[in-house]
Amino acid sequence: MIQRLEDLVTKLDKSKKKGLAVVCAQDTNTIQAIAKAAQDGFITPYMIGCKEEILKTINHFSLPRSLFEIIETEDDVQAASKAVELVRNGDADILMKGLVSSSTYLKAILDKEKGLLPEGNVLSHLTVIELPQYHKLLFLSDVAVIPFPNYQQKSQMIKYALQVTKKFGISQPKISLLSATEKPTDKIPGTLEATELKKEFITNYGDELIIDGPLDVFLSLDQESVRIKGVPTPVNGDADVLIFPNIEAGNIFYKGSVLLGKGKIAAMLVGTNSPVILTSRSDTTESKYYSILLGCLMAKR
Amino acid sequence: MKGLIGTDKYMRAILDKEKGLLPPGGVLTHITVFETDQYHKLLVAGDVAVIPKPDLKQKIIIAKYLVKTAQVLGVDNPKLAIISANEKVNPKIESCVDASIISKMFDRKQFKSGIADGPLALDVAIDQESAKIKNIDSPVAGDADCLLFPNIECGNVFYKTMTKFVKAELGAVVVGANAPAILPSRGDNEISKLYSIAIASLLS
Repeated sequence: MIQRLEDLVTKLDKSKKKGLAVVCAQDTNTIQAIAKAAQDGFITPYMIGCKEEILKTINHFSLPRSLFEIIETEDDVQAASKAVELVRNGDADILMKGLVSSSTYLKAILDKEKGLLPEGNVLSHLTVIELPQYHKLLFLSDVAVIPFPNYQQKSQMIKYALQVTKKFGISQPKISLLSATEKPTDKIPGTLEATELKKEFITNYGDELIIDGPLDVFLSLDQESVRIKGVPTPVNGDADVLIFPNIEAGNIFYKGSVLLGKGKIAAMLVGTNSPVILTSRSDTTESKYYSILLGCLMAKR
Repeated sequence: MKGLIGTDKYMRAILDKEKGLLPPGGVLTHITVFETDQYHKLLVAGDVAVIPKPDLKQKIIIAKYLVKTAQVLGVDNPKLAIISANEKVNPKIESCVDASIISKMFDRKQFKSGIADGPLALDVAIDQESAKIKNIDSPVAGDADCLLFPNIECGNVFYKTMTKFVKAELGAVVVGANAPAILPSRGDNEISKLYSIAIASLLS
């Protein structure tokens, strides 16, 4: 079982090195994390973009040239489609964003014929967060991609979270459908949806997970609060997964606990055929490194 | 101040039209003041507990109360961050649009004091480094005194994350009535109840 992000380093199988296709790889913001993952033997980085610029970045950080495979393309759009093609063909396993706009990057991923999202799949985002004040890893969705998920999208988010937690060795993850209160009320529509989702998942996936909602942060993550409030919940302050009612609430939890709670993260897009990494510029090198390792863990081969 | 009584009964007495404390047209809202050694000053935030989904008018009123509370705590011209999930104004996301409107109202000095900016994501609001990396040029970024949340789910998540993971101290008060009201939660410790009384005294 992977209990801390650090465990990814020791538990990942290095005998099967993964190919990482980086779009516009001249990015000074991500190259150190990529180099570390390559030096540690997890990946072969395919650095796609302007060769001259990529070499400049490699030299700027005095990194060994031999770590990287460089693939020259003419512009950002071509770099994105080339990288996606490598992953589609199985020549690479993981896609990663470099110095390219999110819209160009996502356009290549979402391309109906040559992209990475199977028809009918929901594209969402999953963050793994390690907090010094919590006794295990927490899986969060969606703090970055779907602004106001509807019922069906939330249902997909839960299924994606199940796939990821399974890879971490969690056999029956405790899933909390988060809101401001544990009492369903029509004043907060998300609370009503939570009760419906809970019913559906207990009926259809009852042996794979433990789910409750609506729950607030305290009842989800703090056993003492469960005791004080006297609310019986199978999640019992011991949640593995938090499903947020909207991106604003998810984003605030994520940024608040990273900035003020000294959290570490790994994050990826979910719903695609292969792992896709979409780090934020303000993520630390360590978090970017862990995101690459998360991609390795979730890779198909 | 609320003692051993259900919140419903307590609120009903406050809200009573004839004998209550809320003036006609008044908006009751909840203000929390956080202190954490992870931030260089106090943070005045709302609404984490009373208004589920404030509309633009209610948000403007909350903004004024936040600024006023920061002022009674000694900040001359408080900086207000209007929170959303990012800094770009997306016409499809109501919280972004509302934030831009309120921000412009402060720019035009429609209120006596306060400097506001929004939409801002939480990291940009309270962390200068994030603002620099994201290239956000804002008088509020990284130095907010006040945080205005788009809905109760956000506010509540922030409040509970601050107490559970950041070990923040806090005081809270319900404003908008003729007198401040204190509504402690059972989980609050003694010191936060004391701070709540102190903040209510300052505001009375």
